[in-house]
Amino acid sequence: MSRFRDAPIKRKLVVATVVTTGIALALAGLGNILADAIFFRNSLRRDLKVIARIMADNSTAALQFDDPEAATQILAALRARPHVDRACVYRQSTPQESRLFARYAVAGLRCPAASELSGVVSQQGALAVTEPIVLEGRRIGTIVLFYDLGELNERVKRYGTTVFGVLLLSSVLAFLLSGRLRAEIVRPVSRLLEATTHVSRTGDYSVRAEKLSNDELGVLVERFNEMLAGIQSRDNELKAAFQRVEDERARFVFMAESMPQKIFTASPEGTVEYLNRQWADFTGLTFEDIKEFGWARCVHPDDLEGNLKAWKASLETGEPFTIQHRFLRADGCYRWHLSRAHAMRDAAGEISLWIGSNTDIHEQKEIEEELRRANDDLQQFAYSASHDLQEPIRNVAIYSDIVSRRYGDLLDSDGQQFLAFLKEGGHRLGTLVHDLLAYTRASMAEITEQTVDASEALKLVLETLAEPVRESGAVIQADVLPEVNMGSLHLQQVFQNLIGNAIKYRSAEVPRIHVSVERGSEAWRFSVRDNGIGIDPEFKEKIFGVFKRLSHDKRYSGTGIGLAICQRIVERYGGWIWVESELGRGAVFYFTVPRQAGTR
Amino acid sequence: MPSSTLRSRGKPAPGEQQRYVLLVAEDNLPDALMVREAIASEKLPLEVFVVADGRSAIEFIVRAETDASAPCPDLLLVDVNLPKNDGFDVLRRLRASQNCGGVPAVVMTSSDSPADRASAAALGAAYFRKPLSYDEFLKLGALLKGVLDGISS
Repeated sequence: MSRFRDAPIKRKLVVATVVTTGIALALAGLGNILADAIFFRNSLRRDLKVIARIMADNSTAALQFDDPEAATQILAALRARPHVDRACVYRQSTPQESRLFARYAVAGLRCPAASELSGVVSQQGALAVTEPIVLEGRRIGTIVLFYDLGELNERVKRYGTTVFGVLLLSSVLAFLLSGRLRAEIVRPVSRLLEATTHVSRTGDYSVRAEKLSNDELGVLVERFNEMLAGIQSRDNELKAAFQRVEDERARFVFMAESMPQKIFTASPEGTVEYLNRQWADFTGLTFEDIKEFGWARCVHPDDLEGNLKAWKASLETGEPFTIQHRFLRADGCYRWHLSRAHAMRDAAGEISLWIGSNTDIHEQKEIEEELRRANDDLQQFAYSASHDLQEPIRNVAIYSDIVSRRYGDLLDSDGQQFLAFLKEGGHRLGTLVHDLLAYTRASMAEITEQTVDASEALKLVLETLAEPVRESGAVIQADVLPEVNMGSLHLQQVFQNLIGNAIKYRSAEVPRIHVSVERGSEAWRFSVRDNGIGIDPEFKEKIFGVFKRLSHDKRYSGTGIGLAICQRIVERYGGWIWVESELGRGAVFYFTVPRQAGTR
Repeated sequence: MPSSTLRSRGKPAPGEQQRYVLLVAEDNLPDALMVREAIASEKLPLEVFVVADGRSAIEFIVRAETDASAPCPDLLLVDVNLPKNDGFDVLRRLRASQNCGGVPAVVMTSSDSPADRASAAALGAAYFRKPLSYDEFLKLGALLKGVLDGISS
């Protein structure tokens, strides 16, 4: 069976056609023969029964008158039926006793004895029919006819031969016809097979199987072609998408390679996956050397711990990585770099990639350092100079004072005026130097990580300002102020300058000063609002400059250093200071203090 | 200049009120003279010794410890910016001294830096900022008077 299952469709079709045709024809023929034989036998028996009845009736007289000759003559009429080969009439004297009375027989045949009569039945090759002979209701004898079945057998044989012939003929015809049928079925299947073989061998989805008919096979071919078209278009889309990805990658790589910076990408776990050429050029190491954490050996030992810590923290949190460190060049010298990396996230928000850069900032760093040193030197110079200047200035100021008190009378009016100039100049110089000192001190002061309760700082300032507050009758109000990241003295200095100014530059009204605060996302924003003379917006930048004063009115004494000091302090803590005002409408000074401690 | 030339003239006459020794460490002569002006303006009973550098002031304290005839000053007035050792060095040495550790002291300076004020306070010294005017400078006298009142009571 399995051999048949594996046989080619061609052979299956031949076998199926021939076998089904053969079986159908054989069954039909056999049925026909059987039906014919049964029908023929039944009708023959009926015929024989009728003949036997007639013969029995005709023989009644012969039996009655005991005339065997007459009976023999009657039986002789059976000659007309060639297949009735024997007819025997028995005379029954008593119910138990019979004897052969007359007979008709083809040569060589004999009638069975009367004693055997009860056993006379149809035998092989012969059909026996028994009929009683009755006279006036009394059985006087029996007639038996024998029919030679040779004819019937002959007929069956003839029939069988015909059926076999037809069977043979139709099988041959079926075989021949199936050749054509086979082609009808097998050809489209072969085409399909060819097409699938081509696709599977070459991956070329552009072929199509030829549709040869509109039957199921035709539909199958059509569906198969549709399927191929579907696969082909998807295949094309896939190729196009793949090409796009390749193009994107090529573009990224080209971009990365053309950058002056060192560019890298890393897996979410921090394994380096790509490095541009600049990495190898700078470090002299290969990709294999650098991936994993091999890059760490290029980081200056003093910077390594912080670097690894920051990188690991970023890998855990996904926060951007930014760090400055020294980076070992192939020639053995370290250069300052700014290393940064950002996490790229997929649609689900998971980190898919880290993209980073390492920028050589060595020159910048050196310039910065030089600038810082120069600035420090300058500040140090300004500080020492103004500090050392104080003593001689004081000598001038005080002793010109003493001279004018004790020896003023000895001078004429010109001399007295010149002495007054000397005294005034000394005072002015003393104040300027003092303020300059305060300013440089604010610039140089160490910024330490400390916090101050702003309300407390304000309270201390208001105590210091008690005198001018009392004199001016100023009303000062303040919100509840937070604790901020600032040195207490620095915050006090800022408050003292801003509130002192608000009182000093008051209008004709009673000064009203309000200190409030707002919590921003990154910084606290303080404001000091007054109802004073206000500031022309034109000058709102200028007033923060050193020794910049808008008024030379004698009422408003001072050198104009206060706001410059405030600005230095606020900026050193990473904040901003600015003013919003209009002339005659009061002023609001704002300054911010970062909520996360940080300096600039 | 030798400190002897600056030594206060006029010994206390018998029967006069108790006089106290003030050690002044100041290198700027005009300022040293202003200290005298201030003391004079308040008529303070002070015998003034002026030294012109920090080391001399320290030597004065050391002598008071080792030499029984050399007394501790009753009052110390130091400038911060002194040659050799500075005013705070002097103060620290004074506070470390067995005999003179408790002597009241005043720091006198042109600086008004919060750091200097804090250092002075930490060493238990009053603070006087040298002003730019004669009248203001005389207020040093009032300050010294207050300190003296503290000693005599």
